[in-house]
Amino acid sequence: MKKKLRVETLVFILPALLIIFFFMFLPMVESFTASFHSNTDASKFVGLKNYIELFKDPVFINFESIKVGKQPYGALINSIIWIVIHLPLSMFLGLMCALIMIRLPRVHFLRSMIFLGMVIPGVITGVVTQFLFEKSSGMVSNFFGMIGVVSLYKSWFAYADTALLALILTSVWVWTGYSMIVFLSALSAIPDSFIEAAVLDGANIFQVFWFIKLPLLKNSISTVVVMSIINELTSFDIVYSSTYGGPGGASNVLGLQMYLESFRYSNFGTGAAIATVMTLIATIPIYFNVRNTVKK
Amino acid sequence: MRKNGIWLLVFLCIGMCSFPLLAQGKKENVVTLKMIAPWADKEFEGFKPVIEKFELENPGIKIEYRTGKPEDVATILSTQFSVGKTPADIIDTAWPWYIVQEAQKGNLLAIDDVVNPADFREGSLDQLMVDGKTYGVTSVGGLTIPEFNASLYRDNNLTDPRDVKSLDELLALMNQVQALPGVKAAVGTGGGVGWTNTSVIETWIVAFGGREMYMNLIAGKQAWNSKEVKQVLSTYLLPWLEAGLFGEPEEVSIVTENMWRNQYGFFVGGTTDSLRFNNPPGDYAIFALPGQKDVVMWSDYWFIPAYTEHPEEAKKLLAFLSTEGQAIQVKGGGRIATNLNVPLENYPPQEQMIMKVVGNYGIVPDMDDTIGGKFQTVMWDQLKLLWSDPSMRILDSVLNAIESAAIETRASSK
Repeated sequence: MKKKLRVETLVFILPALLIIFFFMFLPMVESFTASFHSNTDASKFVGLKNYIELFKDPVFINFESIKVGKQPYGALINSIIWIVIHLPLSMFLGLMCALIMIRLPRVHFLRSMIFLGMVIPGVITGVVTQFLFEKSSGMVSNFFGMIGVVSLYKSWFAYADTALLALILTSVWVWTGYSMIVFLSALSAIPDSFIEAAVLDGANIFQVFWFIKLPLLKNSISTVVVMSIINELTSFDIVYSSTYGGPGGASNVLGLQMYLESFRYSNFGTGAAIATVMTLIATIPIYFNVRNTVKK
Repeated sequence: MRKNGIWLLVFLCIGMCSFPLLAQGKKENVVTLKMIAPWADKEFEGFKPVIEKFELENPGIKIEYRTGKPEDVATILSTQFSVGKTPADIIDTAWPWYIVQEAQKGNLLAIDDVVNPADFREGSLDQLMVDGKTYGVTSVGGLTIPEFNASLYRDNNLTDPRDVKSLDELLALMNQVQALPGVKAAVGTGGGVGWTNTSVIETWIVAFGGREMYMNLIAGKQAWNSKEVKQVLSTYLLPWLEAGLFGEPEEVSIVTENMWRNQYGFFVGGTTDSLRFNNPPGDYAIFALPGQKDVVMWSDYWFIPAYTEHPEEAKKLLAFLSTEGQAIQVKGGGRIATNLNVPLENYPPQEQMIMKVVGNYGIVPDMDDTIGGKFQTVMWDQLKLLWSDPSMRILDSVLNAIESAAIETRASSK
């Protein structure tokens, strides 16, 4: 019986395993191998040369700019900045939206509007946000102009100090919808009896959130963190269609740099090295997420 | 009844299965050539008659047109070429360096047998040759030159930029323009990837550094961070940027439209911009900077991938596109032929005016399109930095970055 169950299980997971093997695992191995080969001759093994060159390239990481604290910091640092700002902001806003939405009746339209950012292709989002942050007609820059913040009354994408921030804020708008939906479904799954019991015990709204809801949202938070980090690391379309990494590399990110190296400069070895670095960074949260899941 | 129904079903199935075969048999003698070029909307309207004429003259060949920008097409081609395939039989690109790069890898077809170099400006096909063979041919193009709406100057009793004799005079005029109500800035700045700033740099270098400096920069005989180049840009361009005469960047189509609405004194664009305006005749105008002797002319290029299944038909189409096709396409306006045999009468009045201006100047090729590769994207990007933070410090770092990208690009193309 047990053996039959094992065979059945194998039969059911085999198609998925085959797809993962051929379309994910093999290309990953291929890409990893390519990162140790020459840009000009794909058959020539060059060891760690591509990685060494990468870390020497100011476009990837600019130690001089980091020292003086002025953009461009390089694609690696910009991607890290992206994660550091984007992740907590999109999660916080998504959670707030979910907590509000779950208490309001008949707000499907509003929910859809917040989720809309996820449905719009990234390239379109990039183009649209160019207008949002533009000096003459942009809502964001004009808002700051109106409240007297002159330093932000400008075309954000044109300046090294604001270009990356504009992209991150755009991405936050897009991803808030995603975290909101995940948190909404998790909040809906919390039995009312838990909350009622806490209220009967005298817990206020913040205590209910802190001691009841938040611990029960742990799995959802973990999912949102992993998905967001993967998205943040692979950010490409918004950057490509709005700033192209500029000005002067101030909004360049790993996804764009990988594309440029591979497909614009035909440096497949360097492109593969960047892909490997991205995979390594993404592996950290994925590892913790999987470990938590397996523990349960 | 049921039996009849089954028979009907069988006949229907046979009919449906045989229909594609019949249709295929009928189409057997028709070759479909796939073509990729960047034109869409109004620009494609100007190109459509070319396709129609070719199909009319060659009933055995049909053309399937797809729009594709060079950067997007290059991405697709790199993966397709690596497995010996091509998404199209004939492709248009703005980059001569790309043709050379792919020809060196054996991905393109030599087209010497269908192209006559005497039809084109002397030496213009040289940049498309590898080991003595030609792998591409010039298509239509345009000029990179300051363009403006003459009504802005006429209505405000200002000197027409065409009549300005010195750079100081032009600077004074632009300060006057900048002060006009409703004017955002004296000069428009294009946003997006940043190629529009390249047009400014090219124009300033060819005007104030001269033809020799310009051509030497392309050939790698002059360094970008050399004293001479730095002097040209710091003396003639930096003061304009520091004084805020260049406006905030706007998307290219918007900045040109705003220039046309008299919100900018001029914009260094391409003569194809004229297609965007519904203008009263004569108000669209171009001018060269004081002392400028040469103008930058860019063009597109056609090439045939080596993996085409219809090489003869593709060559036939390429021959048509580079000769008669150009003569038809320029009638739609906005473009200038590179084929010397296209008569002036074929152009609409506006382009006839441009052609007459071209006659007074020497022609230099588009710099970033010619060098290409990493140089191109780095130049686009770095100039955006100079525009947003104009200072000697940034100019130095920008020129250093461009020079190292130029060195790297030249090294990788060897």
